[in-house]
Amino acid sequence: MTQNMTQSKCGQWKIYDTALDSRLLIGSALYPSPKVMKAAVAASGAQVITLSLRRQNPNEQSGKKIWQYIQELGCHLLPNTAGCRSADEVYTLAQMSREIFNTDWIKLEVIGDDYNLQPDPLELLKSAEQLIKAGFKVLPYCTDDLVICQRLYDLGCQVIMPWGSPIGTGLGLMNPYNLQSIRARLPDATLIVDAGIGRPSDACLAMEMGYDGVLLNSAIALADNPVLMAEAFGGSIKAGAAAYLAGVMPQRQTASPSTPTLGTPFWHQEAN
Amino acid sequence: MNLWVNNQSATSVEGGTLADVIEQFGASGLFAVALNGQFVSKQDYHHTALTADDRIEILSPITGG
Repeated sequence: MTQNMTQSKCGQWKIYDTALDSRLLIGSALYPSPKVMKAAVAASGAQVITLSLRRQNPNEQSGKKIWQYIQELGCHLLPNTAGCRSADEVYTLAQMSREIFNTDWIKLEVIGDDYNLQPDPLELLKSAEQLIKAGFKVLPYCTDDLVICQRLYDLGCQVIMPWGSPIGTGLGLMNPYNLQSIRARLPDATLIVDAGIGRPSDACLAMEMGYDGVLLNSAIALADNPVLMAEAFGGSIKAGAAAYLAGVMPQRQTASPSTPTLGTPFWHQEAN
Repeated sequence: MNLWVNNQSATSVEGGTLADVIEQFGASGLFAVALNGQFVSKQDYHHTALTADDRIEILSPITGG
């Protein structure tokens, strides 16, 4: 554990220059209703909320209500580039997002395959470079490939967001070894596990590994009780962060009694 | 002349600007615009001339993950 990481786990942390208390970043989609979305986000304690852009329909006004709820939450806005398949598409959408939301933050998503919605690593790197040059603070959503993460960091992405598993699957952390390797090799990067989280224990495990935060949406929005699940995730992320700081005991292959053996009662002793 | 606004067919007078088409479309609230895949900032709507078959995207906030 580096000194930087230790400090970063104590209380506040940062996304670029913005200090935050909560290590949960939350999505705004898929909730049963805007009202439930608002209540769940509030219950989670999240201070960053993701959102997106789509074609406006002048005859459809429901989007305005959702936007009103999101504004009332007072969270930092993290617009995404979901649906983009090339660096050119990302660049246009990111500029539109910056004008609408008045933020330089952009959750960079550029999908390369429809089956698992896996990010396209080549377009991702090209896009990250282009966006950074244009003054964006880029939060790239990527696979758990160590070298891709290193390249993104080298380009200037201070925050890297490898997936736990494909978007919306709830499969949790598919490759803990890969995620641990990224943490170990990029000790000064802000690392957030994004996508695939299904249970609070998945989020807790990511934090126990030393990740700085977790971004999720479906696991809360699709729960039977999203508000209660939001509270559960808030608690699990705090627990995981504390456990990382506390230092998890090493695993052992053999049993070791926790009760002192000195003074064990007589019935284990053979009679003389 | 014929145009495409949010993938729907639309018409505009020759020499019309992006601002004209946005007003004709009825865009309201928060939105941003792209013309033929390129972002156009708000201050440029009034002096961006359109040509036939231009493709205009008018986007607004929605929920996202």
